[in-house]
Amino acid sequence: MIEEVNYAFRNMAEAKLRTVLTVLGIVIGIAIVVAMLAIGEGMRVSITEQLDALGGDKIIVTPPQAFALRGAPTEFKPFTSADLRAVKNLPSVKDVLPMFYRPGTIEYRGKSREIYVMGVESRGVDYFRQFYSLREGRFFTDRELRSVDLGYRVAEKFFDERVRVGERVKINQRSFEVVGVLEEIGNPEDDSSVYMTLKAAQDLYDAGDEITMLWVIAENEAAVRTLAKKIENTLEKRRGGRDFEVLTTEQLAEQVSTVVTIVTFVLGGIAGISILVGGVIIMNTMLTSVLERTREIGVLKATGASNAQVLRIFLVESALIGAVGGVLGLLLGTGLSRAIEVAGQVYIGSSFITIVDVELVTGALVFSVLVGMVSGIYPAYRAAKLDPIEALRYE
Amino acid sequence: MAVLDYLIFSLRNLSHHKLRSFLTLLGVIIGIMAVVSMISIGSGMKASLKEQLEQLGSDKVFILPRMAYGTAAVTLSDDDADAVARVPGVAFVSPLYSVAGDVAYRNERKIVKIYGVDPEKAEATFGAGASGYQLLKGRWLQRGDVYKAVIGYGVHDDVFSRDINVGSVLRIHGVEFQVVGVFKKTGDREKDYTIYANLDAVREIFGVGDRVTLIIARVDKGADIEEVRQRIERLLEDRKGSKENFFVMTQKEIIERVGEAYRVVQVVFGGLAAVSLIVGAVGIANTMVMNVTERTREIGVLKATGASNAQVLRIFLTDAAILGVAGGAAGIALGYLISLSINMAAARYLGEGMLTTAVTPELVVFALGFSLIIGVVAGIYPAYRAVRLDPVEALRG
Repeated sequence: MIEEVNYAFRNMAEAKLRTVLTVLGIVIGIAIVVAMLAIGEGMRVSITEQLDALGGDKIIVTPPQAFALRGAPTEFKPFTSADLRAVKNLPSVKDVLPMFYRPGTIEYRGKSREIYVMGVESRGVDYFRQFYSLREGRFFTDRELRSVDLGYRVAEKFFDERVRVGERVKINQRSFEVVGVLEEIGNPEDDSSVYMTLKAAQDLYDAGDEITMLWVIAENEAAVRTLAKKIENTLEKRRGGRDFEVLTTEQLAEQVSTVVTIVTFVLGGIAGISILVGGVIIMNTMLTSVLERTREIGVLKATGASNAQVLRIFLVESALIGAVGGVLGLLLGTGLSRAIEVAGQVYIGSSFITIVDVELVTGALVFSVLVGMVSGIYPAYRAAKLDPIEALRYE
Repeated sequence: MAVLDYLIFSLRNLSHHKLRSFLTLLGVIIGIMAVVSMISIGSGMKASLKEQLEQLGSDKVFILPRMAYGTAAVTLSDDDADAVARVPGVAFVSPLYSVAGDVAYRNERKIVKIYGVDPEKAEATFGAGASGYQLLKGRWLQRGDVYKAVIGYGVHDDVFSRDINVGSVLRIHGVEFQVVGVFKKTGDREKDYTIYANLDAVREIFGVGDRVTLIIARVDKGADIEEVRQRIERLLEDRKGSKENFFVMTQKEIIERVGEAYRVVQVVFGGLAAVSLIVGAVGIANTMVMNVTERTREIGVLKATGASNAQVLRIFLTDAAILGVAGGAAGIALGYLISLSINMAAARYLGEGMLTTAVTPELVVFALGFSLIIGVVAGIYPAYRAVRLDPVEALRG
């Protein structure tokens, strides 16, 4: 085997430019695919971690999110405090946390920007400690109807100057005192939101007892799945249909993970077409290599090399091209994913990470060797099949 | 030598190594095929959106609130619609209230999208009952129709386990509505899966007062639509406080805005697919390098018998260009077939109008041009190597 590898290296070195181009074909493909998969894995992990941090005892009840991608903007019948009470009365419910969420605007020193207004009772902040930590100041209390905590981007990025604790801002034309600024949560919506107590948010929109979503906390994790089902039935009966989604944090994580995986595979697959083209190049190079070395093959065979040995020589050579391409592609792809990570963190937030893990490294290497070998099969077969006498005669 | 001579000469050379040429072509074909089919996805979406909006006519301004989770940043009302109607240059307005509500038919209850519209104005502005919509059975809503509804084809055919027809009675949020018309299938899921009913009746049963979710303003003939749009935006900014909370858009702007989103899809998909094209170019370069190496002696003869450097360069560039263009042409043809199959598969599995693809003439021209460029660029270095050969050395080689 070592002998064959040495032999292959010598041959590859002889046709330097050709080898470089052939390897390059694989490098490009592997690099792009590695970068894509690293982005996908990073997304999956960061989202799953965030959801895990919420704890397995929670169930979220939301409006369907895929509404009105096209056509006229459509209203969703919001939940009400009666819905809330109905859920609260179900067995094994420890607590129900109503949340209010709407798009809005913030004005600071004469400049206006788009935000989301999140209304949540202050005990909700305690449930979601992993999400919400303070950068400065404090959280609003339920009695303060004119106090607001700003998301990281709102305070730090939206205006020419940072918005500081103690200053006043206008939210939907109403004046609020900034009592705190949150640490970066990592996704653009949460970091572009402002947080106030539920009542304050409902008042701000003159929205009565409108509730956008419910977080249900179960008494224990074991009860979560059955409870979710019960919530679904209760609300469906109350509302006359399923115009909402009920998801346990586990289901939410699964759902998100599935979507991310699908997207990753679609994008990775499209990028992967280039590896196919790289394989075709390997095949081409190997065919030329066999052609050029026809006489050499004749000599090998005349001096007793078996068909299997000849086959192996060429297969090793093409596998080696794949392997070298794979290693270089992996390095380039890792570098690329790091670069994308840096850019992504600036534009999207700190939750944008890319991960090149052991599976990806082994997968990429094994795959590139395989591509090399598969591409080499036909040329190697042609070499093995050569008639030694004809081959020796070849010019 | 005339151009034709170069072409014939190249074709002869390329056919000398049929398998190699074929494999090189294959690289380009796969690349172009991938790019064409991927870009066709974005083009198709854009084209179908454009078509949809063009049915509405280009004399309309759309006013809608910014929304999240089905709730709006600001509430628009009849008063706002009336105020917009008074803006100079606005002929009339058509308010619409759209809600996802519970609908019962026999023993089944489902959530269906309901458009509350003003029957007469909707016909002129929104298009319902007019272009894009054709009645399969029955009639469109009339003035005075209160608890009457017209349904899209999907509602008629698919939403409930039994078909709903003219004369059937639906219960929308507990209130009975009689179906008076069924639209033909439009192919647009949004239109097909919607119930159309009287604006005031819908608002009343959902208890939303005089709220509207979309105002369509029809602009006077001859008025400058962009000017009217700005007037409406200023008016609503006065009424609603901040222009960040709603959109006032002409049809052109909507197309541009959505086109932007599709462009992102196109750039990402097309960009990733284009990587294989780059690899295909590497394949051309590789083949050309091998060809030059093998034809060293021939190059020597050519030069010794008086071929200029420029001629040698042209010979090899022609080879590379042919590989690029031929691969491009075949790739476009295959890409078109893939695009067609994506279209059919999407219509079948995702529903019609959810994902459409289109191979536009621009795309074909672009792909051909691009494959030509790729071939020539990939051929430059190998051709340069051929030119650089010393004829004496080459003859000996």
